[in-house]
Amino acid sequence: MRQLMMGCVAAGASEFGFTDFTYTGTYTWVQDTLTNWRLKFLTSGIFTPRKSVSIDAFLLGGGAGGGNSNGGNATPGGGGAGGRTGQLNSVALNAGVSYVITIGAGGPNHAGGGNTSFVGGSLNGAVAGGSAIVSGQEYRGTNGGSGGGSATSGAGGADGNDGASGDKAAGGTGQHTTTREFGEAGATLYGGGGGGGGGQYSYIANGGSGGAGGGANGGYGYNSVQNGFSAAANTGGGGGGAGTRQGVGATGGWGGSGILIIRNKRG
Amino acid sequence: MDEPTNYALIDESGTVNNIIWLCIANKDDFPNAICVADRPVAIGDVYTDGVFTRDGAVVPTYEEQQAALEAQ
Repeated sequence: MRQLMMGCVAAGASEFGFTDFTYTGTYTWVQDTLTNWRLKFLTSGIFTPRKSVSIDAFLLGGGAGGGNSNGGNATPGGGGAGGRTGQLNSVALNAGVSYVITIGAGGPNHAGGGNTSFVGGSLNGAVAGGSAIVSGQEYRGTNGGSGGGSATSGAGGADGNDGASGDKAAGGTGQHTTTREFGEAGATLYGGGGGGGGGQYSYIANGGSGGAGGGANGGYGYNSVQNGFSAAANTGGGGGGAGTRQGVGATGGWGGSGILIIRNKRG
Repeated sequence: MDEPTNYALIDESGTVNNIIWLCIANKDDFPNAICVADRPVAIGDVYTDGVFTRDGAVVPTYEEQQAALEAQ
């Protein structure tokens, strides 16, 4: 039910397999090797293992939305930050216990992303999404996993770094630790910051680039004002800031939802 | 399974304490979840009598916000 197999499973080769649990939301089972597996929870739900198992968990909050632009003073919107990341190591999950999983939603324009959590029995783990834009400071990139880029046209941060500054403000602050899956070099990158929006003149018209790991680009400004772009689901990327020109405002893009990934305990 | 969308989790005081990514098929797993679809509801907003408010004002839909900004 609702699983996407990516690889083959040899019967009896793994202590915990894809038939050893139920989940009420959507997920993807990944069989990395005969004995190593990962389970990616894409939407919120209830997880119940049929066997006890020891796991590591990687949590990613939802990305923040990008800022609206203000056509009244031709100020573009800042980029939303990526979702924050966290990790739980050597967690014992007990057979028959129901674990509640929330996957943080991506934030709308101005707003922060939702929190991703993994709660049940004695387990209580959570990480926050990217932060909301401060009212009246829509031009600023926000803080989170990787910082959003500020207006005008600042690039979103990646891999836990700050967003780039624009002419309006300093970029948003990142978490300053890697946002890669399980913190491992070469693993999938999540939680990139959104780019700041483009401005009213042709030489500053392009929106800032979204940070690697799902950050969305800022919207174009000048003669073809765009909304900020939205980040893809389950990336935790920040939404892009809106572009502008004098008299024309637009809305920031949505952040991307987060993800929870568990795997058999390794190392 | 249906496409997921945004749901607000409401605490006892009516305050939104999380926004989660959830499918309608298992919505009943979260009895305090209210579908917000594309209304830009955020953590800290208040839900009273079927209406989301922020700082005392109704949270506008995305389309309403966009229309207001385009009119600037």
